[in-house]
Amino acid sequence: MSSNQITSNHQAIQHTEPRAETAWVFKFIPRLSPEERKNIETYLNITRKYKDEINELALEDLNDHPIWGPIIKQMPKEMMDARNDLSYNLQIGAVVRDEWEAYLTDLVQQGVQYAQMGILFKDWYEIVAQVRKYLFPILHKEFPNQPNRIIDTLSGMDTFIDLGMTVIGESYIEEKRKITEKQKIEILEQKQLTQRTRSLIEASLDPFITTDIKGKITDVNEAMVKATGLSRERLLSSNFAEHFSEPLQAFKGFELVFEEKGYVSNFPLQLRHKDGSVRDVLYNASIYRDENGEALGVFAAARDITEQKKASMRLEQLNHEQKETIELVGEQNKRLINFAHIVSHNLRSHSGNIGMLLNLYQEEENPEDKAALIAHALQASNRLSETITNLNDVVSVQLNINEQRSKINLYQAIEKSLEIVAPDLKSIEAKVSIDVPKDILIEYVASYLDSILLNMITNCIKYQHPDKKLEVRFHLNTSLNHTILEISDNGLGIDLDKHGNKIFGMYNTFHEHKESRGLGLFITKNQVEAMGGKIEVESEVNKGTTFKIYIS
Amino acid sequence: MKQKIELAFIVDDDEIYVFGLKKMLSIHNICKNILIFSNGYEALKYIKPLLSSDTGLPDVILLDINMPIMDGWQFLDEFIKIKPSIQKKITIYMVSSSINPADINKAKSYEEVSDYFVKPIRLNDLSKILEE
Repeated sequence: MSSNQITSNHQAIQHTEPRAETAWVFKFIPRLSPEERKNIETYLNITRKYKDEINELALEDLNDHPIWGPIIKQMPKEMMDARNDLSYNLQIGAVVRDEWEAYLTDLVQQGVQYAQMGILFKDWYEIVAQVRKYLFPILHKEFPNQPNRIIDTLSGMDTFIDLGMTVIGESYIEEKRKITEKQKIEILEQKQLTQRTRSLIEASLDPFITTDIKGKITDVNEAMVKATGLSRERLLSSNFAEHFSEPLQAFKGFELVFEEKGYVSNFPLQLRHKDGSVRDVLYNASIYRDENGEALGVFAAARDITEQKKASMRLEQLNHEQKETIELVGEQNKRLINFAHIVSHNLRSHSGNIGMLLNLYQEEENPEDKAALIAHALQASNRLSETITNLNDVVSVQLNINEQRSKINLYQAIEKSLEIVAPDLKSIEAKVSIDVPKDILIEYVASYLDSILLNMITNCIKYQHPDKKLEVRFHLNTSLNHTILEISDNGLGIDLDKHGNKIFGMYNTFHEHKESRGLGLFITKNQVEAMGGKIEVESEVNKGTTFKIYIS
Repeated sequence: MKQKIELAFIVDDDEIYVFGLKKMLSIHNICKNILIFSNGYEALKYIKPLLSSDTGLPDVILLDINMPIMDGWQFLDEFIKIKPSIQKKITIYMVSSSINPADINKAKSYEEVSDYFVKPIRLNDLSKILEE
């Protein structure tokens, strides 16, 4: 049995696809002399002739061999025979008809296969040595007393086996090179993959951490280092929960990962920086496991939503501001339309009266009545100009919004307005108290403040209760957000259920009073609003009225 | 012209207008009697005690809109409340300087209001009143 036959036998069991990359083997095609050819042929034919004997000897010898024993034993006889026939045909074909390609390719395939099985190249030499041993007695039997023929046949065998061993050896080397290359590539790829993953994790702006199953941090990325202000070394081995403003809540999120589906998503937490600042994050965490499904730890990524939150707050604020602007514009628009109607109404009523009176004047014949009509027409004309003056007052409030503010002592301003109406106050024995700190300064347009205060006190006098002595109280109410001047009286009061919507309207009066122009509160409101404040009223009929002027 | 109006109310706070209107009504001999009220509240105060009686209630009310204390609209709202107990047919005309469409439409929405005249009221308008 030749070494080639043994390899061939195994080929029959472990059938593999022929390899395409065996072209290198053709450089080993030998140039045999006719003599060498003949010697090899003789060797092949003798091993063929005595194959059964050789096999028997081999079986005996190699039965206990750690490598070859199991291979020979597990091979059925028919298969071994078939393989031996194939090998013999390939060998003869190569040696006799120069069909080396088929033979060498087959050899390489087997070499590769044995290499892949883990059989060492040195194991082959044992086989070769054995074959030599078996062949001596056979050759002596075949060529008795012909030592030259024995030597020639052995020489042919050596030539052929050397060739076979060289090719198998090369295929071993080739295979090993391929395996090493493959491993190298695999190792490289693995390394690249790890690097890529790592750089992906590092490139992320989101803080990443991995922890063991107890929550101890096993790895962090740069974003986590930045977000906490702690070094990687300090973070590693610390418990992840301590880096959140609410560690208990963080740990609850951690437990949820194990309790539920193996992950949590968008769990809101606050990541703590060592400088005390916090960032709002949404945590997404999941368990990672070994190949047996055993939990190794938790991978967690925190999405920083601080900026998002800021943006949404800013957006909310903008929306709010926009809404306020729209409301303000709407309010101003409404006021303008209202003002246009007021102007139209007031001018029409006077001009209409003049027209009516002049028509009547033409028809009237009685001189006395004619004089009366003219007198009334004159009065109407006066009222027309008065109305125009009033309207001008209102318009100027709207126009002078940018008038210069100055620092005004509120207490002194109130005293000044009281001085103007002092004779009236004295004649009705009114009691006025000023509950305002004497050193309070407000930033206001001086003429507006005077106008507002005078209008307030004048209203108090006009609408005093006939059965009570007038009491007026100025009171400054300062809170965190507002400075409010409250002016209260014990006068007639206004039925706000009836007139509430009209009290600050133009030409609306609510009492039978000769001096009511219905203009004062309209102008006051405009002035207060022009200063960025507002005016409110509380009142009860027969009890009194309180106006609240928001100064800021 | 048809029959004279027995009693007309003028509810208006503009005394110049009232003077002119009174003059016009008397020149053209439209009304036998005229009563003047300077706002809705005054008129209502007068009407309320007379609800069940036949006399003293007007045939026509010429009602202004913008008035102190109780304006034309408030008067109408109060008038609607007491209307069921009034036997007499009272015709109400709104008379105002306002050409604001909102006011005109609002007036039309009141069943009790027969028409809306823009000041200054003209003779044509008064003839219409008589024809009613």
